[in-house]
Amino acid sequence: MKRGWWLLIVWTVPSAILLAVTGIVFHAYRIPPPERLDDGERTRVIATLRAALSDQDPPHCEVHRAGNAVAVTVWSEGRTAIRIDGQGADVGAAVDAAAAQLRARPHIKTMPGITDARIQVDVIAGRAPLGDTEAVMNALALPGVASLLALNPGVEGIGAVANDKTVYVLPHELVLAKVVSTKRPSETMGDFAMGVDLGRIATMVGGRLGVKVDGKALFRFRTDAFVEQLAAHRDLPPLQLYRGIPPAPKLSAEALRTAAIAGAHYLVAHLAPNGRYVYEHDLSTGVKSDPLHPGAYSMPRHGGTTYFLAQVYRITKQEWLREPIERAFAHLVSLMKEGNCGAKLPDGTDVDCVLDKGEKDAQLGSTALVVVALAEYELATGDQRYRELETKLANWILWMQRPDGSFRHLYNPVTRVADDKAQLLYYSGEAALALTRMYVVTKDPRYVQAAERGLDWLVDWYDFFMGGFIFGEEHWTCIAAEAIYPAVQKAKYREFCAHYGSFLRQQQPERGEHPDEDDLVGAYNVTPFVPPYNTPAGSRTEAMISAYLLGVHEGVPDSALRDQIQATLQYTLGQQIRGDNDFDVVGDADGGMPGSPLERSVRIDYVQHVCSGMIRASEWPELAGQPH
Amino acid sequence: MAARRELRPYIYLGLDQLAVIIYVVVIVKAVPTWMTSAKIHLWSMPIALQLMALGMASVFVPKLRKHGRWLALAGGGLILASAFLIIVRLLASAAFLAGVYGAFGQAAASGALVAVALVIEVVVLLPIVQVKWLMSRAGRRVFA
Repeated sequence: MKRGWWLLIVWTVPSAILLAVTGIVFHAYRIPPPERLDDGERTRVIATLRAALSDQDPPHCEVHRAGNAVAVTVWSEGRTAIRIDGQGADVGAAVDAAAAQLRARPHIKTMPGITDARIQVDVIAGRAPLGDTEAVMNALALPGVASLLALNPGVEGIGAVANDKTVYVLPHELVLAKVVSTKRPSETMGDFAMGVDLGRIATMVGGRLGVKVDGKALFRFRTDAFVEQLAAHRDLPPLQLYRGIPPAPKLSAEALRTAAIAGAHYLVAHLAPNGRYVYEHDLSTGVKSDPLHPGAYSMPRHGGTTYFLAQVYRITKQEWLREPIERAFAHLVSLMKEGNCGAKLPDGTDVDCVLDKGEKDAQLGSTALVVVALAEYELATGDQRYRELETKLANWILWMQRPDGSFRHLYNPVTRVADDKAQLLYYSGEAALALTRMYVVTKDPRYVQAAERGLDWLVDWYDFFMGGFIFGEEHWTCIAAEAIYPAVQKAKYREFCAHYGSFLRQQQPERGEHPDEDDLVGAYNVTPFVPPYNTPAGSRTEAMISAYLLGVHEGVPDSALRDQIQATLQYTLGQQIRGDNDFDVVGDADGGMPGSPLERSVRIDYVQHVCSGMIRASEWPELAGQPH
Repeated sequence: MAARRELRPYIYLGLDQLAVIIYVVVIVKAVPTWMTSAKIHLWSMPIALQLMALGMASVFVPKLRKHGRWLALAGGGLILASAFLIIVRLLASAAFLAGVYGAFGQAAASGALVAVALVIEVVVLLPIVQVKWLMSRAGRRVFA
């Protein structure tokens, strides 16, 4: 063969092979998004099923769309009360079959609260194989890709066929069973769980089929899901669901204010008589952490959460907030008495710090956020009853600061020695904010000078080559940088926070960028494969509001920051638990903020960060999506 | 005038052996994997490169030179095939994820491109230059 032919082969064949592999694999595993039923069709589907659930003759479902299977879930008090599948020649016939099964269930006659129960329908709309169960793909894909990232969590379910029977484990069932983002890529990465647990899923599917399921029998499927309205709104069409969540309320100042107040309601309802919060509420089981007994708890989060309540009180002046805030402070006072952290410095200054039960070291973040909360309360009420306490705590923070502006983060109250080595996330920014807020309420220049030194240290830390490309978690830094204005006006603070915002925007996908994941637009995520958490959406929005306001103060408002804030606020409005999306929530959790669309539990700091951003943005029309 | 001494076989031998040591250290210390196919794939590279090094070492034994050249070419071919397979696996994984998630994302796409570029730079460059030389007249002459 001539040399020219060889050259042609060398230059084209490898590229052709690579192109072919890409195309074949993509099409083999792609399930196109379903064409969704319209308002009228969804209404007709639900009408048939609601009649059956009410033990009446169901009308035939006249929805003649392609699709031969539907899965029906009846939710009652947050739990699945009934779950059936219907099959037929088209969607209408499948719904008729499901309605007949539903009516045949004896316990619909005795089920309590049948009117309030809500019917969810999943129209099975497309299927594709699982990469992990196919030998070629399993061998060809990089380790973990075909197994840990086997399906789009919350969007895809897993089904199986055995003995002529087909079962469907729906996307939300996989989420509630905690099998979509709990597998660790490696046992050495204990805190990093992101993968699908196909072993447990196979067991779930096998349990429904009544036989052990071979991996090859499993397949992925997508659904067009929708849920019946609340009983009071049944005249409206059923709500479309995506990743288990209905459409978000439209962004507006009023919507943000309502959502923030709902968050405050959640926290007050989760504050025990002893002043300690119910730290975590599992939405799928209703299990709550017990505030009366020792367990997982975070004093910085106790302080931060109380700060948020005081912030809502300052802005809304709703009196029902005041007693719970004071109750949360009373708990802190009793902890401080037990903690024995109080001391007198050689110069006679009284200091004190916050220490939770059983804690050996006092953490700077705990005391800092308590000071932030106390100062916010004083600003909100004008009541100076905690001033002496605030001052002692702030004196301790000043004592923990080094001459270069940095802070020591841990302190042993027994040995009276501060740890000069340990550096923990967030604490320096929190301390800078605490000192700033102390200055705002006391006008004592010691605080503003120390806060400025702290902020300078935090911002100047990035003064090296790679510091221009990466950022740590600097949300408290930017909140403090704005809070100190106008006492300290430094262009470098605004520039730093604007760059931080620009860095974060690269993690914020735009609509259409990840077409199957437009529901996550506004969240911060690194790839489409790792579900974004709601807490960073909240804390970063708090920081971005401060970054934006720094620009406003200096006459250079940044429209990119404004759009970034609006996108995240719109996203978090959709994530919050409220009447129309609490059908799968056990226990009263309205106003709560789940960890993510896939992590169905609420922790106090999730609510605090997200709702703090909301209440602050509600005061700025342009941030709330309204004309300036 | 005496013919200029050909240094390239010795240089390639040194580079091959150094790369084998680096590969072994990196595979053992930095990229442990539990997946058998991945283990075989990773280890194919230092083994193939060691074959190349042995082939180049035949320059010291005149009667083995001819076979040594073929051994080095076989090792080079193997490592190039292995590198090509890595790129196929990267693309198959990317296509799989794009299929399942509906998108691959800029971060992941950048990461995959960087990975392909690194494979070409770190794995392919040395054997491809070496194979090219072994196929040339100069290479044949040295191993004749």
